[in-house]
Amino acid sequence: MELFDKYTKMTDLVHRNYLLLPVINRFEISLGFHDKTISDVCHEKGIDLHFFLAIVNAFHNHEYFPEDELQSFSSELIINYLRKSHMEFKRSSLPKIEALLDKLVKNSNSNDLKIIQTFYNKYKTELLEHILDEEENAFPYVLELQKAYDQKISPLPDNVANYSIQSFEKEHTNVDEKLFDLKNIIIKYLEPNYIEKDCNDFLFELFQFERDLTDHARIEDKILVPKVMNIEKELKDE
Amino acid sequence: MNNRIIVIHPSEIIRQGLHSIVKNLFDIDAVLLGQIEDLKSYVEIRKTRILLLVDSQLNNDQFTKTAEVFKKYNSVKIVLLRDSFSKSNCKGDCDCCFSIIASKSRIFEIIDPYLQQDSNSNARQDVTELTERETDVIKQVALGKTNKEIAATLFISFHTVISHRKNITEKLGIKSISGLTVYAILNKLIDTNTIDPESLI
Repeated sequence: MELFDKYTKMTDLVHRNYLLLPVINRFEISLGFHDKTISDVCHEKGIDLHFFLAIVNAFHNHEYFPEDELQSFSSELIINYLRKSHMEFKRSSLPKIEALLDKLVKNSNSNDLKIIQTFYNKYKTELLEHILDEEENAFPYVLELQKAYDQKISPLPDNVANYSIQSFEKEHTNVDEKLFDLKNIIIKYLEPNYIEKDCNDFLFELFQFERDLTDHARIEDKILVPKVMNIEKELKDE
Repeated sequence: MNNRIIVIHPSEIIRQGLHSIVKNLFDIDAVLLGQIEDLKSYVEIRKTRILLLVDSQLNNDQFTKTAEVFKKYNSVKIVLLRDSFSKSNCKGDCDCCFSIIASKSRIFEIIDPYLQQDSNSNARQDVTELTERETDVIKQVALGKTNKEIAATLFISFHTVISHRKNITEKLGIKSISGLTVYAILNKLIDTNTIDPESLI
């Protein structure tokens, strides 16, 4: 298993794993690296080098996940990254998937595919609700909590004292299950009376989106939530 | 099952040496760690046959505890690396340790049997269609019925419904209710002339 370090050239990073491209973009890094290393680029852009390395390495190696190190980063840094990926899902990933599904359905005349489309729409609605809930409730709560913790505000303001992260962050399993089911039904049970190329394009995009989402959910469930729970414990048990 | 080899040894020379030997013998890229604490970053490993090559001096409580975490989801085998001066506690040629001056063929002898385990017994999972009763249950699920309602309609116990649903999900590889509903519609288990399928999903 290979781990990237600060001496790795940005160009090599992309050559080794092009799926990291959107991850890099979330840090507002664009291509045209010349011979710059990860360290050079992070320094230039004012990006936390260790955070960047932890994120790309955890994405690149599914089995690598330095929980302790990742939890040591500030809530703001983590949330900022999560928000960027939300935005990308909404503006880029989902519209792209939809366009491909539309094309698949239109070129096929299959009623079954319309059922699949309905299922996708249901999935999308749930996913967007989940994202909105995090953006409007969970993230602001975490940031307020972190502020109260850092500035030792006592007593805790109501909008912090009366909530806990667990009241916001429901497990991702429900939403994730639907995405897996969607793929599996197409691969396993859908009558193949459609244009294969269209279907492949759609599935490729779904697989890639699933990978992005899994990585995203892992950062929320295993980094942000435990981190916040630790802060809550310290603040509220006093 | 995947094979993975993790080397934990404070000596960079020994780590790199084992990496090169293992790569050469088995074409496996071993993970190299300098200390036990680093093992924690790999707790995500699942369904893997893990071979831990550990410096015998690191074989303490902390190590045992960390290794336990892996055993939950993986098959784990620990081989200790003795330095050439320390005596072995084992009699003769045991398969749980070797000295760092062991020959390449000796290392092969110890590691190989472990990596080969069950590679012949690739028992394929039986593919089975749904039983009649399971089909009855999935129809009801697709119609949006709760487990309690299904039990009442089919005259079976609540627990039997749960057990059928578990089997259905395992056989089909579909977990969500919407997904099961889609399956039922595609397979014409429910009459979509009388019910609008969109309202069910």
